[in-house]
Amino acid sequence: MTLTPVITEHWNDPTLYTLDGYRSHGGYRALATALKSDPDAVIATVKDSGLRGRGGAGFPTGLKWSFVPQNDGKPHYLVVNADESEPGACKDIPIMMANPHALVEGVIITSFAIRANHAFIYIRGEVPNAIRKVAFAVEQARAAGLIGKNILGSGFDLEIVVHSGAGAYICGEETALLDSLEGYRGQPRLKPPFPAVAGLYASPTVINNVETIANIPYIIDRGVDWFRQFGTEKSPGFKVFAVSGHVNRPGIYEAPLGITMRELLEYAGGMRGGVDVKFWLPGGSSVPMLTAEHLDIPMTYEDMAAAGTMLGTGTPMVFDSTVSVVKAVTRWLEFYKHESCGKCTPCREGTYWITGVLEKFEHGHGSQEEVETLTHLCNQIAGRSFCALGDAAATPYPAALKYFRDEFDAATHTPVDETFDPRASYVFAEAAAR
Amino acid sequence: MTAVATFYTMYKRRPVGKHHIGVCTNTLCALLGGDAVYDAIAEHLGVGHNEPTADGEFFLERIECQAACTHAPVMTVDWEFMDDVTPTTAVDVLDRLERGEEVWSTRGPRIRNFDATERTLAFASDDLATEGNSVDAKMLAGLTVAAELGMSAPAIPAPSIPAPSSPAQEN
Amino acid sequence: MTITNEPGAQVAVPTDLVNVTIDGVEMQVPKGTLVIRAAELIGIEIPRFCDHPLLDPVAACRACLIEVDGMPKPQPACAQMVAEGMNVHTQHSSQVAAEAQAGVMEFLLVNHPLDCPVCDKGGECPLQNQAMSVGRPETRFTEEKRTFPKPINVSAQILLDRERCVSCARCTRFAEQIAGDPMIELLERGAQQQVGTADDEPFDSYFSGNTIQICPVGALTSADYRFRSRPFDLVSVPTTCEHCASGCSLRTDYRRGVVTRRLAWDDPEVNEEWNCDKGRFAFRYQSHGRINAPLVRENGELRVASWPEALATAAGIFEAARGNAGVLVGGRSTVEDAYAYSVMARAVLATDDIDFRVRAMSDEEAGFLAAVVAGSPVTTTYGSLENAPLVLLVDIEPEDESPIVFLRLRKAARGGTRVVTVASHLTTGSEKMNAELVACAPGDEVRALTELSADIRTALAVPGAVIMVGERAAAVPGAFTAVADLAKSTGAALVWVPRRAGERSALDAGALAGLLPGGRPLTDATAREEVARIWGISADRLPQPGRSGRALLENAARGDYAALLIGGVEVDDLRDADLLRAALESETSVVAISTHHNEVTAAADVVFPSGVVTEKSGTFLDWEGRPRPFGQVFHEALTTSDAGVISAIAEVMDATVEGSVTGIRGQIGALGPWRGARTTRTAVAAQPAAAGVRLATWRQLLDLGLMQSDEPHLAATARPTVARMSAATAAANGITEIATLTGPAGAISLPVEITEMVPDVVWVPMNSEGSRIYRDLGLGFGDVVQISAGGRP
Repeated sequence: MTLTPVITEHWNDPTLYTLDGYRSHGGYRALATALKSDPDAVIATVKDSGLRGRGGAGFPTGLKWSFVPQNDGKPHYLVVNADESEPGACKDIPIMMANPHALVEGVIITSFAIRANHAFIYIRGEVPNAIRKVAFAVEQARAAGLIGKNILGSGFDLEIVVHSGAGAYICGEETALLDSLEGYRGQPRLKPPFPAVAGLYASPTVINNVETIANIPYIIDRGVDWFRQFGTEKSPGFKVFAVSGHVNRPGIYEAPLGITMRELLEYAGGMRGGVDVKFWLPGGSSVPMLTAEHLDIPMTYEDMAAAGTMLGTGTPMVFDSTVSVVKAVTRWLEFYKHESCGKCTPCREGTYWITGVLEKFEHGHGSQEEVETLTHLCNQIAGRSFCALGDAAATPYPAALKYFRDEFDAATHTPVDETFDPRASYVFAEAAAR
Repeated sequence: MTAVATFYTMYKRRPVGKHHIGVCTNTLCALLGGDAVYDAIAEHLGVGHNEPTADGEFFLERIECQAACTHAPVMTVDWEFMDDVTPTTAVDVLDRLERGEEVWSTRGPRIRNFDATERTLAFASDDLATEGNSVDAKMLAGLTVAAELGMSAPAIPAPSIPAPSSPAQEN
Repeated sequence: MTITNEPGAQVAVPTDLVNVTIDGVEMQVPKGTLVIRAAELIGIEIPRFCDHPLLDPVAACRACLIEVDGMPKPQPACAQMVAEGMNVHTQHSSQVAAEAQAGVMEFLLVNHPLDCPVCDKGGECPLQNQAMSVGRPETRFTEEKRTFPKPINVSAQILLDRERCVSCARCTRFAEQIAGDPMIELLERGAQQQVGTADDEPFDSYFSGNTIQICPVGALTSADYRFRSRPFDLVSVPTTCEHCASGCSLRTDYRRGVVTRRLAWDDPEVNEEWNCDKGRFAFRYQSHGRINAPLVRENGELRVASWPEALATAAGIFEAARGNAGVLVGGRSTVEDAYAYSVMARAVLATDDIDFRVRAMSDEEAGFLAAVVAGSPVTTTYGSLENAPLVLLVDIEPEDESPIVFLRLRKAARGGTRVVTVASHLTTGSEKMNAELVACAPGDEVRALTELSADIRTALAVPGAVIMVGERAAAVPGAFTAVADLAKSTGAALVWVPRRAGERSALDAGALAGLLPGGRPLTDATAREEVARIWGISADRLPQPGRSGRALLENAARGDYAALLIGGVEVDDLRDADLLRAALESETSVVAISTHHNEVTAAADVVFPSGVVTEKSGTFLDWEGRPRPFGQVFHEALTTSDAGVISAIAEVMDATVEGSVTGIRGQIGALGPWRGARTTRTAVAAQPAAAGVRLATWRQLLDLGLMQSDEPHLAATARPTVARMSAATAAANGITEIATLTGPAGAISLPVEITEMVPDVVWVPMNSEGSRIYRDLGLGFGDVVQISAGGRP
C-alpha cells in the first residue's frame, strides 16, 4: 500500500506553520466552504466520511458531534484533546509543531458544526514548543479575522483558548481533561452525564483528538468520496503513523488505514541491523502487543480488534529481539502506577501491587505462583476500574505472557539484565555489546 | 489549591534551579538508551531523580513519555526537545549550558531557562514560535520516502460544497 | 402541646415506577433509584465504601460492582440507576460480580495496615466486616506496604491515619457537599493519594466529627476518643442532643458509668445522619463539677444535707412563700421538667411569676410566643425548609445557633431554595447557604422588613415560603411584631428558632407567665378548667396572670419575693444579670435545682442536685415543635430530674406535683392540644435607632458555653475571636488592626477583621474568650457601643 501524505504533505515547507504558508497550500479554503454551508450539513459530511477518532478509541466523529443537543440555549464547547501522553504516541505533537493551522482550521469548522462559540485546545505542558506553535497559529488566524466575531462575514463567532496542561497522563481521559481545564484535579468524572450533554462547565461539549480535528479541513475541502478512497469501509481515511523503536528510519509516515506493519517497516527502512521483530504495539502501550507473525494484518480498527489488540493511536513501537519483554512491561506498569489518578481502587492499588511484583521479576526474584497472581490481578483491574487507565494498565502483562511466558519463567531465577544485555538495545554507538 | 498543586507533576513545590533536565525513562526511550543517558547525567551532576544540584544550575527528573518516541532517547531542557541524545551528547549539552554557551533545542527555540518556560506555559504562548526549526528529518521521513518512490495521496477533486441538510435527511 | 402532634406533612407517593429484577426478585422502584438502594429494599447488601446515601455518588471504590444484563462490564451499584426491565445480578447470583467484589476487597487490603487490634474502628469497621464476608482468608500480597507517618492532625480534634485510608472520599465529599467546608481534600495522586489540608489551614469545620463517623475505616479518629475503648465494650443508648434546638438524634456510648463518645444517629426527618461537633464532642461537663448531694445553708455556709432535711427546708421556705414566689426555669429543661416547674408555680406556690428565658428578652417576645408559637402543631419542618421556594432569616445565624437547621438550609439552597438573611453582613455560613443579604444594622429590623423588596415579598407569598426568626429579635423593639405582620400579609410560614434545647419545651409546658401547658391562655376559663382537672385542683386555685421577663427580675431584685425557685440558670447569661444578682443578695429565700455549682447555687438557701441528660429520661421540643424523647443512659444515677425534686418538695408540702416522666407525659396526653382561642399579641412599634456605632453579636457555636467546658480539643477548633466592621467604619474611627469596644461595664480589645457589612456596626462574638459582652461591656445586640483604635487583645 502506498504512502499518502495529506496532513503531512507540505511539512517540508518551512513556512507551513505560518498563515501564509498554510494558505499557499489551500489552507482555510475548507473554512470558507463550511461557513457557506450550514452546521448540520457539516456534521452530515463528517458522518458520511466515516472519520473515526484518532485518539485511540476510534469512535465515529460525526456521530459524536450529533449527540450535542441543538437549540438547547446552553453554550456549547469544543475541547481539543492535545494531551498526547500515551507511551509510544507521537503524532499529535508533530502535527501541532509542523501544521498547526490544520488544527486551528479544523477547530473553527468543528465549532461551527456543533454551534460552539468557545473552543479550547488542551496541550500537555511538557511540550512548550507545540503550545507556542499552536498559540502562534491562533493569533495569526485571529488577526486575519478567522477567529473572533463574524468570521468571514458568516455571522459565526468563535474564541479559541490554548491551555497548557501541568503533567498528568490521566488528563488525556476526556472527563479528567475537563476537570483539569476547569482548574481541578484531573480525575475522571462519573458518566452519565456524558460530555455531549454536560461537559465543560456542565454544558454540551465535544472532545476530539488533534489528528481527528486536523482531518476535518481536508474532508470538507475534498469531500467524502475523496476521503473514502482511503482505508476500508469501517476504517476510512488516512492516518498519521509514527513508527518508533528498532527501525532504521523511525519517523512519521502517513498512509491509508489498512496498510500493514510489514509495509510500514519497509518504508521505515527495515529493522536495525537486520535483527528480527520481537514484539510491536500498534498504537501505544495501552494496546496489547503483537509479534512478528502479525506483521501482515491490515492496520484498521476492525482488523486490529480481530487480532486481539487495538489500533489505538496508530503509532507503532517496534522492538527487536535484544529487548526483555519483562523489562518493557515493568517499565510500562511503573508508568501506569505513576500516572494512576488514585480515584478508584483497582487502578490505584492494582498498579501499585503489580509493579511491585514485576520489579521482583526484573531482578530475577519472581515465582511461578506470581506468574499466575499477576494474571489474576490484571483480571481484577480490567473492566472494573473507573476509567480506561486501569484497563490500559491491565493490558501489557497478559499480552506479554501470551507470547513470552518463557521470559517470565526465566525471571523467576535470573535478572533480566543478565539474560538481555541492556546495551544491546541502545540505538547509539555504545551498543557494542549487540 | 494544595489538592490541585499536588496532583500535577509539573507544579514544583520547591525551587528547581536554572535548568530543568528531563530524561525520558519510559519503556521505549529507556530501552533505546534513555536509562544510560539518565545514569550518565545523574553521575555527571551528582544528583538523583527530582533533585537539584547544589549550585542551583540543574534539576534532574525522570520524565514520562514526551510524545517524541520517533526521536528516542529523548531529553528535555526546560521542557524543550533534545532529541536523539546519547550519554555523551547529553552531558555535552549540560556542559555547554553550564559554560553559558548558546544551546538550541533540536526541535524548537534557543534554550532559555526554566523560569522562562514556566512563563510560556502560564500564558500558553510566547514570541518564540518563529525561532528554531520544529520539523526535522524524522518528521519528514514518510514524505521523503514518498517523494523517492513517487507516492502521493489521490488528487484533490474540484471543491465541493456540502448541500444544506433538508428536514427529510435528518434522523 | 405538640407532643400530640398533628401530622401536617404529606407523604409523597412515587408515581414513576420502573420494573427491575435483582437476583431474580422482581420489584418496582421509583425511576432514578440507584441499584444499591433498590437491592437494600429486598435485603440484599452489596459491599460498599464510597457509597453514602446522602452524598453524591462517586463510584470510586468499586466494591459494589454488580452485573447487569446487556452491559459488557460490571457496573458500580452505587451509581447505576435502575431502568425499566433491568436485570441485575449481585454477588449472590453472579460469579462476575462476586469475583469483581472480591478483587476490589483484595486490593483495598493491599496497603491497609494490619493494626485492627489497636484501631478505634476495630469491631465496628465496614472494611473489617466486609473483609470477613468478601475477602480472602490469606493475603497474596508480599510486597512492601505503602507507609505514612501516623497519625497527623487535620484539626485539633480530628486525627488522620493515612495508612488506613481507602480513598473513598466520603470525608472530603461530606466537607464539600454537606458542610460546605472543603478544608480537607484529596492531595497527591495514585497510590500516594491522601486526604489532607492546606498548610496552616486546619479542618476547623463545625461538622468535622461527622467525617469520623462516616469513615468506613479507622483513618479518621478524634483526639477525644482515640484509644479510649473498644466498640464492643460499649453500651449504646439512643438519646437526643441537649445543646441546641436542632433536636439531633444521638447515640450515647458508655462504659462503666462513663460516656465515652456520642454519635449522630440516623433520623431522616431531623438531623439525617449528621450532628455538629458541639453535640458530638461536648459532654464532659456531664461528669465534671457536678453537685452530688443536696445542700442547705447553715450559719451562712452551704453544707451537705440529707434529702429529707433538704426537702423539709425547701418545703418550709415555699410554705411561707405561697402567693409570693418567683420561678426561673432556665432554657435547658426538658418538657417534663419544665412542666413540673409550671405546675409547682401555679398549683403549689400559687404564683404565675414564671419565666424560662435566660437571655435578652422582652414582653413583646413573650406576647409573640404565647400568641404564635406556644402549643402550635408541627407544621413547618426540616422537610419544609428543603422544599421551600424561599427562606427568610431574621436575626438568626443558623450555622452558629442551630447548626442542623444550617445544614438543611444549605441542602435546600443546593437544591434551589432561595435563602435571604436580614443581617448586618453575609457570614461564611450565609455564603455556604448561598444567601442573599438584606443589609440591616442591629435594631433596624423593622424598617428592613417593612422595606423588603417587592421581589422577596412576592416570593414569600409563594406557598411553602418560610420566615425564621431567632431569639435575638427580642432585643429589637417591634421586630417580632414586624415578622408576624410580614408572615400574615404574605402568607409565609413563620417559625421561631430558639438557641437552647429547652426553650420550646418550656414554652409549651407553660413555663411562662400567662401561659398554661399547650399554649393555653391562663385567662381562658376553659383552659383553666382543663388544666385544673388534670392537676387535681379547682380552677379557682390557679393564679391570675403574673410577671415574666424584666418585671419578674425587677421584682426579685427589690427583694419583694418571699422565695425564688431557680432551675439551671447562669447569671451572666441574662442581659439583666445585675437584677438577678441583686435578688440573690436580697433577703429572698432561694431554692436552686442545678446540675452544676454556679452563682445561683452559691447564693441559694437550699440546693438540690439535678440530673444531666444521661441521668434521666425526658423530651425536648426542637424548633419545629417536634418531640425529641430520649431515654435514660445511667439508671444507677444518684440524681433525679428537676421534676423529681419538685415532686418530692411538693409531697412534703402535702401537695401533688407529678414527678415521673411517664406520669407527666400521661397528663400532657390527657390535656391534648388546645383548640380554644389563643392569646393575641400586642403590636409593638419600632423605636428610633440611636445614633452611633451599634453592636451586632451572637453566640458562636463553639464558645465559653458551660456545657462545652473541659473540652480542649473541641475548643481549639473554635473560630478566632475578632471584631468585624466595614472598611469605612474602621477608617472613620481610625481603626486598623486592633479595636477597643467600650460599654458601661468595661472595655474589650480585639483584632479587627474588615468585613463587607453595613456601616456603623461592629460585630463581636457574644460569649467567646476575650469577648463576653454582657459581662465585659454591659451591652447587648443593637446597643450603641464606643469604638476606638488600638488596645491590647
